[in-house]
Amino acid sequence: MMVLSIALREFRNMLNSLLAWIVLSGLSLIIFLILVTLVKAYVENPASSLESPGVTSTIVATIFYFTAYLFILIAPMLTMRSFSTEFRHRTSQLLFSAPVSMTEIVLGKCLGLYFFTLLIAVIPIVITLSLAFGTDLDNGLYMSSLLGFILVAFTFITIGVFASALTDHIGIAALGGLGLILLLFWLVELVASLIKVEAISNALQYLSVSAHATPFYNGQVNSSDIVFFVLTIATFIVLTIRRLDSYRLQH
Amino acid sequence: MTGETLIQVDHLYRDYGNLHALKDINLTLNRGEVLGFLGPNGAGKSTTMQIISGNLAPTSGQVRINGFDIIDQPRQAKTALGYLPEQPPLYKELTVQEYLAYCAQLNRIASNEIKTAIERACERCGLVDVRKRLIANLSKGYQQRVGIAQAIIHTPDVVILDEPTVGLDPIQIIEIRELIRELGTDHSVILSTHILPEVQSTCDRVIIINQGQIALEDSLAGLDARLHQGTFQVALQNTPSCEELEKLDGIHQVEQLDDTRFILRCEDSFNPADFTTQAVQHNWQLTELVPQNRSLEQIFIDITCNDNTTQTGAAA
Repeated sequence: MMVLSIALREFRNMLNSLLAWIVLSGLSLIIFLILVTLVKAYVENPASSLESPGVTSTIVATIFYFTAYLFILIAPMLTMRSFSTEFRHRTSQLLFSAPVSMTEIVLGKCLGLYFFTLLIAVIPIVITLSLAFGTDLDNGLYMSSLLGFILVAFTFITIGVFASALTDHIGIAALGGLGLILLLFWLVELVASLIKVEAISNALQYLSVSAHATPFYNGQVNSSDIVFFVLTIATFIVLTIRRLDSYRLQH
Repeated sequence: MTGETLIQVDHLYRDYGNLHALKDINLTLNRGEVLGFLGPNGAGKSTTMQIISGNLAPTSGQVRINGFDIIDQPRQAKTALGYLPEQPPLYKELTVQEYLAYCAQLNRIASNEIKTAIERACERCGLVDVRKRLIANLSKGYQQRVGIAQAIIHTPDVVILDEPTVGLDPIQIIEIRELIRELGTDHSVILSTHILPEVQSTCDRVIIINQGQIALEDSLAGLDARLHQGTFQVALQNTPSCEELEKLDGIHQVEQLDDTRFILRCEDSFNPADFTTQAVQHNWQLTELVPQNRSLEQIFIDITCNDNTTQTGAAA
């Protein structure tokens, strides 16, 4: 109940912000251009696609995969304000002196941003569904790609919220979020490939978001990957709660 | 209901690194009382209020609101608490009504009662005419009122106001003071300020804090008594020397103003009737004996400039 109130407030805040609308319109344009490019390539050279499973794989999965990539940039932009402006304008005091727990505050904030992410997800969904007018889509692959995209987007959003809780400066919150997301998305893989000790290398490899996301775009829904995403999201939510608790100790 | 303790603060300490912002703050507040919290800048007023409101964790010590510990049982404690920080926590992109609705939700007011709660708060704070306007477009005084409305929307037992009249014009100040007095009848109010007449016009009890310690705690009546004791201006035509006057009972210090006038700083035992008798006996030709009211400012300055502060027990 309380979580929902905070979530709706955050969601409405997003709708009120210019940035969110710029993101929505920019994303629509980019995805539309990608779609056109992909469809053109597919129509001009259908032969190469005979070996591949078809339109859903070459176009739909690619679009969701690419949108997830764009979320590396989009997520920090959406989340940078969530806590840092509350700290800066001291509105956090309203939340902290209300009978609301830190857990409820963080869950509310994240949930509101998840709602907005789902709103953004409507764009690639509508654009890819337009293909259904001309051809048959592979429903299973479609759903798994969509699920992969949403899990990755939610993970990035949660990381961004954590970064935003670290500082009262939105620029630093955005950059910090971007850094953390890049680190988890593929820098860990890069580092893993450099480390010779197999145990450490494998452990780092496991932390890579990108490695856990790829199977979804091939139509594989592994429970281990879902668990990875859920755990990552939970970890960053807990870290954010801890951060807010310690905010009362210092400043 | 009066006499019920709503706020209990025990042995509060707060350090910022090596700086000891608060040292052993103790206070209690009963229902229906307005407590004035005075101190110079940087004395620890805001820190104390942030700790009482749960925004800041104390280094050690305990805060209980309505019997609930603010750290261990924050939800129950904060339900009974309304807090207006130094800078009102306003979402300026919202209208007054939207903002108060959100505050009502945060304070767990049932959804079917939110509308009446907003109406009541708007009425009490004089916001009825501006409720559809964006907070960003309101004047500072109205923003301050929205801040107060936010603090009282859930009719909490305890209202904490941190410098509520800062930046307001004189008429608004009077209105806000009236509102605070009105709040004091059914809520308990802690009011922090460095404006002394504000305390005299609104508070039942006063705590003066200096360098993180309570320098004085007294009822307003007790404070009034302090204002009226102690200093007299006398005019003696047949002028004695200062030394002669200082020898008299109960006189602490004498200051000569001009040829005939003196300021007598007296101890509590000083009796003006005795002084007139003495004056007649010495044939000093007493022509004036005027009690000088010490202003609250003087008491404040005496206390805050004196490093060896003595803590006085509450008379309330």
